[in-house]
Amino acid sequence: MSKTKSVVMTVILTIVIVLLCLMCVVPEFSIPFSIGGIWKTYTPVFSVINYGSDLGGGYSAVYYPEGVISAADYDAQIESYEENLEEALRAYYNDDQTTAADALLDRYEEENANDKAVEEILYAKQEYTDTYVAYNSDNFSSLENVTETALYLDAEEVCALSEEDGKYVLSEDFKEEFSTAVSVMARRFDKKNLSFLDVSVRDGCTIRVSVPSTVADPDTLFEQLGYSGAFTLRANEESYKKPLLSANADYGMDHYFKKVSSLSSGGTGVVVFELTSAGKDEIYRITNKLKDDETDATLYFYVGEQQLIGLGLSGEDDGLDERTLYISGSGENVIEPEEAENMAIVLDSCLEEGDMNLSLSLGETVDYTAGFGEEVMTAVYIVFGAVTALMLIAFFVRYKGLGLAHLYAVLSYLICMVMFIAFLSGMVLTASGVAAVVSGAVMLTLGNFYIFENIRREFATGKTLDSSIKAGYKRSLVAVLDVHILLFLLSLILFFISVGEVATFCYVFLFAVLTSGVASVLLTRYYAYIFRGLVARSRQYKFYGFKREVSDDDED
Amino acid sequence: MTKTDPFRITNKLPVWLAVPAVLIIAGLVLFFVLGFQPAASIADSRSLVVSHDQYVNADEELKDAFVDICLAQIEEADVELIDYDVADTATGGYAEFRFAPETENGTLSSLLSGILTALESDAELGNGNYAGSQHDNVAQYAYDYIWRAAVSAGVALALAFVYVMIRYRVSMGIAALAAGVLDVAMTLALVLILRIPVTTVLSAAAIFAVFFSVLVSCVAFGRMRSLLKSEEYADKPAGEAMEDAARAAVRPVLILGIAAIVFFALLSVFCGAAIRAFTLPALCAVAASTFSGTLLSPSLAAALRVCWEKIVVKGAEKARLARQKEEAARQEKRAAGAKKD
Repeated sequence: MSKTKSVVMTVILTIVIVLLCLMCVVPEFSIPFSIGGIWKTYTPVFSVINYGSDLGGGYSAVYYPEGVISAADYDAQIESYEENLEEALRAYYNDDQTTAADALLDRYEEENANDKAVEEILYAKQEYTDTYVAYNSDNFSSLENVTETALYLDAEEVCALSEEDGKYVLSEDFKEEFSTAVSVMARRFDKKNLSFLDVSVRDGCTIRVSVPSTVADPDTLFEQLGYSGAFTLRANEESYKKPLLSANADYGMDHYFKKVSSLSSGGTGVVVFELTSAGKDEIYRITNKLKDDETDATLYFYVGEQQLIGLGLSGEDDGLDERTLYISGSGENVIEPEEAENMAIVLDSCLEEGDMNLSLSLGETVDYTAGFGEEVMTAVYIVFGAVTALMLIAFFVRYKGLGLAHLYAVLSYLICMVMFIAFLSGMVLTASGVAAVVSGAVMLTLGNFYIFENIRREFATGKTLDSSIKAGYKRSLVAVLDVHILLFLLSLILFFISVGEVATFCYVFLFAVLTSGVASVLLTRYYAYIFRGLVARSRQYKFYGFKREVSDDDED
Repeated sequence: MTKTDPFRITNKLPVWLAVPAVLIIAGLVLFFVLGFQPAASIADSRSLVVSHDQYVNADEELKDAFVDICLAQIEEADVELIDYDVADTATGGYAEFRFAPETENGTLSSLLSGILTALESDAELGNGNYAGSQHDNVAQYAYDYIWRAAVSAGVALALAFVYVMIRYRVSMGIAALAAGVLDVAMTLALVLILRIPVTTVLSAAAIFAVFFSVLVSCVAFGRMRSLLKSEEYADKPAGEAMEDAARAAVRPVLILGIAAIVFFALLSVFCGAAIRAFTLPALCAVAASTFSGTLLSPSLAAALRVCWEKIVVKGAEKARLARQKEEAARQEKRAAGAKKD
């Protein structure tokens, strides 16, 4: 390549790389001109990256079993009683907000007054405060030094009085039902194959679930996976007392259904019910009867009191005689694939683990931020930058011009990885993802080191620079490709097999290996070829930091 | 170099096998006695939730001030904080601070009242209402993740075995497979022995151990194969040739191992618990793979190669003897026929 061409190519390459680097790191700013009448804001690529729950945060929610309420709910209910009481007292005394509510109540008690509305509220409040006890060490013997509580427990439904110290303990029945509910919930969320999942029992009587920020609709996810009650088939909402099909003393629902799964077809979710032969006969009998009773009949699938999905029978002349039922909504009732998956998970868990009888109410879905996340990523960038700088210095010292080619290759690798992580669908940067990017950088560096050493060795045998580079690459190619191809194949296959953290790691590593291989075998060689042209042909080997053992004139 | 050379690699296979054996046995004992050391972010922990009713409407500065006051109190109380997160809620917002499960309730209780007092007395924060609660969290393990990760590791090792066997030699394929299995086992054993806190990320670290082991095997066996194919090695006896090739493979494997150790060690030291959850097990994986890549798998490949050559020589000798026997029988037959004539 001529010197002019080299200079032009080097300048273009440098501009492109610098621009891409700036695109990644320049902080957000407003673009000072309007595009289509809209003021646009420039957003750096780094800020588009989806961080995993460990580095960025995610969503969490708490499930409260029946008989367990949050302190906030308890306080809100008490406040509501107090507001109603104040209103009733003011009405009783014809007071126009001049007397304090407490004073009115004191007067009411002193006078031994008896107003129906006031008495009803006082009674309801008393009953409420008697029902619920604060879950702290004052009331519960299992808690020690827990003064501030976030929970109130139903003293009759959830607790039992301990004979030892007269304090409460969680009742054995509750513990048993709660333990089943925890294991069912853990399995349900486990089946979602999320990149991160934390299911924990909080304070012995609530379930806290954390999922990654990549979940599109966390409210629906938390709500649907928390459905409890028996799996039944019904004709309509009123038929709950007598479902068409339910578990009985002889058979559970797994006698009729083998498995419930979901699939996505053209953007619509489909719930797939695989029936046993008994199930096939039973569904035929039920649907046949429904058709006889009503032309536009629908068979509904319920979990507890929650109607999950309906199977319209209007197009059928006879009962359904199928081994597999594919149910999807239509028109306004179209089911999203995500929703179909949630339903299938809940229904399948009813078959696998039996019904979850403990009713769970869902607390607020919270979008949390990992406290140390930002600090961690800053530290990662600093460490990565420092080690890369040291490595590049070592390359510059040993290989000079080839070190420059390596620098451009490393920058190209990093830019590509940032772009992949930021823009590829489903990419999440977790701790293991950071390690995958680092591993790719290590592979690129060692690949280039191996290639450069082979070129150096070839050059030392007396070959020309051109033939040394050719021979060096030829000697190294098999080994470098071997490693990259094998690791690429492994990560590709494991990405499809595995779930959660492992799948996330394999996904990032897949692109790290691919980019590292391309950067090592193609880009570095191309960059080295461009940069060689910057110096006179006779000095090119010196530019690469090579030494001719025989004579400097050989090259000419 | 002689066969008694103390620096010989390939004749010490029992020693190299003893190292993982000891580690794995120790790891197994610890696994059954104590189990893994769970990390607080995903496992059992005690936590304090401090809520602030004005949080959601506060500006970033006030939000930071709220968290900083809490962190200052925690630091003052000298309680080790594992991690924390903050969130906006419909009724304000909160910060949840997580501590090791062995932190005493009494300590947390007085820490919480200290935090609440500090928040209420801080003029900068304005007129917010603060509330706090303390919690006990018990993790539920994601068994499906662990099961699928184990299956993935098995598939990866099987594939690596097939690839290395086809691309290199059968002996190297077997050595790579054995090294891979031992590397994962050694990694888990080291995690258990060093009581490294683990999260579900450990499954990804175990897969990393497989990948790194495969990488090291490729580097080591690639170097060995290119040397064994060269003219210089053609005339050497199998044992000698393998020993020399194994020695030559030590350098690239060590460079790879050291480079990875430096990276992961620095990330572990400077980048906090979230990154450490992966990098500490990964460091164990790198150490295990570097050990097996430099010493164990070349020795195993050499032993298998020598064994194979012995079988081949024995087979050839057997075939030669059989041929001789056959020839002798034929000659005897011929001689007997001639005598008859």
